[in-house]
Amino acid sequence: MTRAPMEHSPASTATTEVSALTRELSLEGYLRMVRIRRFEEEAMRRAMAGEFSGMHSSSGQEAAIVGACLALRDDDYITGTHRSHGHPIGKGADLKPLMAELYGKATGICKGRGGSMHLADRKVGIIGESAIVGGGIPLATGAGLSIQVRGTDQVSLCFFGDGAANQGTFGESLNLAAIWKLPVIFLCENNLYAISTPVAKSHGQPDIALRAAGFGLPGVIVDGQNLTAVYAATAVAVSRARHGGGPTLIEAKTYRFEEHCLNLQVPIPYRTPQELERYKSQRDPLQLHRQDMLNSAIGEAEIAAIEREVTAEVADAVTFARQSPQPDASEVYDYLFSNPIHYPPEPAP
Amino acid sequence: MALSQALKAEAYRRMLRIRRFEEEGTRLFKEGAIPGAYHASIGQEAAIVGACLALNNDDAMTGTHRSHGHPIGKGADLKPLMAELMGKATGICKGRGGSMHLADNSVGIVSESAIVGGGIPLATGVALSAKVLKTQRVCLCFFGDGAVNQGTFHESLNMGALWRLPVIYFCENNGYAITTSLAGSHGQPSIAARAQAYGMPGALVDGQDVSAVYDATCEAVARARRAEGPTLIEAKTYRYDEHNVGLLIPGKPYRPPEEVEEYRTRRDPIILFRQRLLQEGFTEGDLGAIEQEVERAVEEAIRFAAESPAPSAESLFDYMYSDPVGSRGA
Repeated sequence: MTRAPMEHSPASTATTEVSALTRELSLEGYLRMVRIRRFEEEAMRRAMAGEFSGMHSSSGQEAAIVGACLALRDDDYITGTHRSHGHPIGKGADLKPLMAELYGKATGICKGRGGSMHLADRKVGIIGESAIVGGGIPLATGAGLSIQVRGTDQVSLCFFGDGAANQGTFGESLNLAAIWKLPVIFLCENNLYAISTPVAKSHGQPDIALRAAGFGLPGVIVDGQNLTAVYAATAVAVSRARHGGGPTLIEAKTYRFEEHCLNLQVPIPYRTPQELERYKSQRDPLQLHRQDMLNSAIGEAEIAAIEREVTAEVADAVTFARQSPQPDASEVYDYLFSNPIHYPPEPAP
Repeated sequence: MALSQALKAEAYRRMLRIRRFEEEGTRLFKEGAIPGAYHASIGQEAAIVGACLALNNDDAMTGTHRSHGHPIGKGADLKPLMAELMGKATGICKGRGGSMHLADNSVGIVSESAIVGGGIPLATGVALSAKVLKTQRVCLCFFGDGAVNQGTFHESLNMGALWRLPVIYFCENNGYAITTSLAGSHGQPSIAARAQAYGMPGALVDGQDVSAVYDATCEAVARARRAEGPTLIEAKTYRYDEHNVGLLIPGKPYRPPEEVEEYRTRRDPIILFRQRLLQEGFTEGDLGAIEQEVERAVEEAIRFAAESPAPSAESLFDYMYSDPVGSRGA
């Protein structure tokens, strides 16, 4: 019997104890979430205007990303996915080199070589954003092994989606991390759909966190639209990892507001417009957190100031990207090999 | 579902066939009559036979590098198996497969393969085929404790559960992947507990008790035939010999000799079952007759294999492509 596509059931969310964010982190969290949202909205407009091609928007998933990143230190590692814009922004990256990368410019975070799916900002600890579904999971596990071997107290956090949880790399990596007690946080942004395939049509049972027990690590389900809840769950996992307690699998139940990627036409509807509308109107992580802040005596003026600041930052990033130069043709072979190939070829001696 | 008296005798016969086949095969391997590597199933007979007896003749199976026990457990003729070990033209794979590939199609074996974890997606595919074709066939997939850590296990069990495929994932957990213990390679020790991750039942069974293995597998087979989906069975078993015969493991022993001795003397599946049969209405005469019959069958298999011809050089390129390559060019 095939289960019907479904929204995340309320019963399966928010099982962790929620410890409140400090006022400072609450504001910082909101700042970063608004950055992601505005960055993505503006990037979509620019891409649709033909200024660069293709992107996967993180709109709707901001709380899952930022809540996790807020629980990390600057020197902790993360790995990400094809939906790569939110992760560096959530970890605190400067927007300019990210936007420039979307434009393929020489000032981009990967010098214009990576594009939308590879916004890997090393400065904020990102060791890889990659379009290989499930490819970041063993990388993050390897980073965890490196931390253990070097004896530092860093941790490695691995973002991946619900689709990636069905890759063999997931099973192999979680087992190794558990047996070696590696300082890794496996954070699944479960947005319910792998492109157009619902979790109910691709997973033997719908809760990805339940997979943890089979590998011998804790599994936690958290409401991915609730910044504070994601932060709290990740903070527990990070503390466990830093103190030699090993990995944790966190499943953040979230939702994406846009299609899988820009301009994707899905001929057969895989989710209802009503479902999308419900998430946008009732489960928008920015709106929910904004209301939380107002309820906790953070004033409208302070919040609006953040929003204005971000609007200006994003506009600056676009200006920076547009005005930056393209990579030079003579550099086309740079960064490919440790022993570079020269172009045009040097004349034979 | 308890074993009938007739099935009890058959269980004893098949376990003994595996044991004696492997003992003689080991001897021949040491004498140089069998090339390649030799992975004996000695010690794991109850897990194999208990599982196989729960299947119909036309049910499918996939196996592993430790491939001799599976066809014998499923009821195969010993002659083409022994001939295959010797690389003869009369072998079950016409001498092309050797010890790790005793895949006897006539008893439903789709594949035996040395790729660790490689049979798991194959079995899942066979079950998908049974579902699409709407047959009542089930597929039983043998694999070891090491294979459980392959990505194929994870991917296959999820799909098997999702599509409710008629497959039985049967882990012969003999405690060691070559020399790596379960404790040194699995995040937690229960393989059956991994089933929950995919939304299927997981069953733990004493793999030295043929009757218990049979019962657990019958339940899983019935579930699969009712189109209720797969089951993961973990049979705790033990291998007596090294991973492969003659393997020298330098350094500190990975298992204590007392552990091997304990299994050989007190947990041997054949000794245990023989004692039980004597308490359950079988006489020494009944069992002695089975033992003699098995002895003869193994002797015949060895004679058949020894007397069979090697594959001819002309047939070297046969069975490789649907459009065969001529051995001497165009």
